[in-house]
Amino acid sequence: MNCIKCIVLPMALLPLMVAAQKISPVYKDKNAPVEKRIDDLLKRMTLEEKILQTNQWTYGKNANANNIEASKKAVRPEIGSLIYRSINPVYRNDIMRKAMEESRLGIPVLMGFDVIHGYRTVYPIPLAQACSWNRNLVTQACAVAAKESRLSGVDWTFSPMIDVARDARWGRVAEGYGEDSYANAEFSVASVKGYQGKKLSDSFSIAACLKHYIGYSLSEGGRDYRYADVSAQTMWETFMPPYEAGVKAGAATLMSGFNDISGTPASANYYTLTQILKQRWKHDGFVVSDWGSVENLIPQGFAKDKKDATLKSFMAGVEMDMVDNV
Amino acid sequence: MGLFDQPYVVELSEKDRYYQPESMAIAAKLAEESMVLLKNNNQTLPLSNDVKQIALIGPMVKDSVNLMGSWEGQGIASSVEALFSGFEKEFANKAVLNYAKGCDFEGTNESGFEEAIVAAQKSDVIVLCMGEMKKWSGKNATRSTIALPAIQEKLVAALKKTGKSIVLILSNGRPLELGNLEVLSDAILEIWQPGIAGGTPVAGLVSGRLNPSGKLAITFPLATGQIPTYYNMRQSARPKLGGYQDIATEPKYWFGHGLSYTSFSYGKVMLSDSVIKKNKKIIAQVEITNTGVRDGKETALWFIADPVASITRPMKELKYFEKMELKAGEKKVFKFEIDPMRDLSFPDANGIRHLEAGDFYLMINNQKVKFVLVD
Repeated sequence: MNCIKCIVLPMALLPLMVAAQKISPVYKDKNAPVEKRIDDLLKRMTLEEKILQTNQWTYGKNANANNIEASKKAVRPEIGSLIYRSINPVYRNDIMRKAMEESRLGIPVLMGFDVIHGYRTVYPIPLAQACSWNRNLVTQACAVAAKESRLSGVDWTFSPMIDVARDARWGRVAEGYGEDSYANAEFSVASVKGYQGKKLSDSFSIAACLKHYIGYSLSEGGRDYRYADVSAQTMWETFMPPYEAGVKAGAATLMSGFNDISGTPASANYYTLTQILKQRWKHDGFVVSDWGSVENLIPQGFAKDKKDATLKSFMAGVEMDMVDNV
Repeated sequence: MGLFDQPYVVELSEKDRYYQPESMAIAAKLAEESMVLLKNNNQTLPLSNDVKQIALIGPMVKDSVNLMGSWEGQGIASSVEALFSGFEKEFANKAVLNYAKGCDFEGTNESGFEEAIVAAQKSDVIVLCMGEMKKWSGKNATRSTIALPAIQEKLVAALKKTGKSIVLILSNGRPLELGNLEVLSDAILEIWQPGIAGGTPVAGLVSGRLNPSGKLAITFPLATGQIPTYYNMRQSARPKLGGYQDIATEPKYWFGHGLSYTSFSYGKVMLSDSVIKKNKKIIAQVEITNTGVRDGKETALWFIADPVASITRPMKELKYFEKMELKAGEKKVFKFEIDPMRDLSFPDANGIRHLEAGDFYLMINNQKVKFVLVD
């Protein structure tokens, strides 16, 4: 059941656009309702195909052309998502063609990348943006990033970071919108609007990813990846509002954090991922883990091995695994 | 995203994808508006027209890597406009730039101090550009102190001995501990990590072609040991006690701090009613006047305080902000519509919101107005 959901949700992101063939399966019919297309596709998928859709690999360890060619050969056409490190749209189209033509069902690959404050036209860090108190400018800047990303082959950014940050020793204070919950909520909305545009299916839109759900900035002493003692009161009055605002603004995805939230790691937290995000807020997109945060459940003492970590993470509500390959 | 129906993207050349003029303009505008004038004694900034020689000193002057900040995406250093380039354009035919690097971002090498002192001595003012390397921010990049490394602080102290005014330009990815530097500086401009289009806005703010309008979205502690310190803390059991034996309790610069080259005067805050029903809204408004001689932008930050509640509340909480441009002499009315459920309620530990009748305070600038919420 849970595994099925992990497929349903990513695909719920994929509304309709251009041409479809005649007598093709329902899932390829752009005129069929999205939910019907998803149901049809899911019925056709094998378990292995479903599992591959929940995996994200990296494409090219760096943007070096040799590296990228080698990666292209290594990528399985059934993969769900890639962290796309090339800037070249030709490679993206090649890999997409491989997925569309060489996989049994022809499911496209979602290409993600860390576009945090600009793609190539780099603009100020988010902490600086917040000091402008200018929502429109932030939206405009994120729209520039979205357009450059899409034209380079990227469909999905791992941004905005909306962790309210009050410990300047922590290195990631640069990536968020400062110490105030309301300011983070406002810029959460402003950036989602910029990235996703009017419609996700527009040719210059990319999917946003609210991160790092939740409480990551409370890592003890500002030491990254550490335990975060987040009281339920603080979680609700300080950390949740920017996420709730971003979800309401239509953010397609969220990323689960590295941190342990008062004893239950963020990437295996049924309360935050399922009870709040999916059940209370009715979020219609999906959750990706942070880089290796599923496997990190092992050193955190929450899972005994990779299999256990995967099970706990997926059962809690993480639907795509960033590069653990567990 | 429509990927099933349109999986491919158009293949344009790099020239047609990146650095479009309208994109560059947005990057430069956002950089300009994000910069915060932290200190400006004796109107050191903008530089006066009498300044004919500027000592442009520091490891950030010709930097093109660190200005991008952490997580620079696919940004490349060769496309970054260095501060030096911005100053060259801004002060062409107006002032001579005497450059010296002075020191690196870290380490102990003081061999560049002498050259920096010479540059300072022949100049009318020192513009000192320093700060953090980008690798000090981002993942796995914690610092044990948020002060700048000793070598940079030593350079400022050495230059202070020349007796020239010091304008400190700071580029960093976090609030800094400025205890040692603030006393040595006449003006401080926080430029953060502005990306590829920061040089021109920085030089424009220094020359006065532009007017700073950023305000801090995060508090600058006086010392690292004050962390965590933030504006919306809860009230202490003994509000006048609980400070430090060795330093002041107050941070260096509070959330919301930021100076301008013009001055804004706030009129009296008016509420459409002093009693508000839970299912009704009231409107707060204040007239703000630009009383200076320069155009500028002002951000009104509206706070609410709930002094007594069934779950203790922060001393104040930001509920709305609005930024508007005001020409010299111009007045504008800033409004905030108070919606009780949105602005006066609070969540409990299960995320259920509660709206409790009682006294509230609306706060803006240095004004505090009481109103009452009734059933």
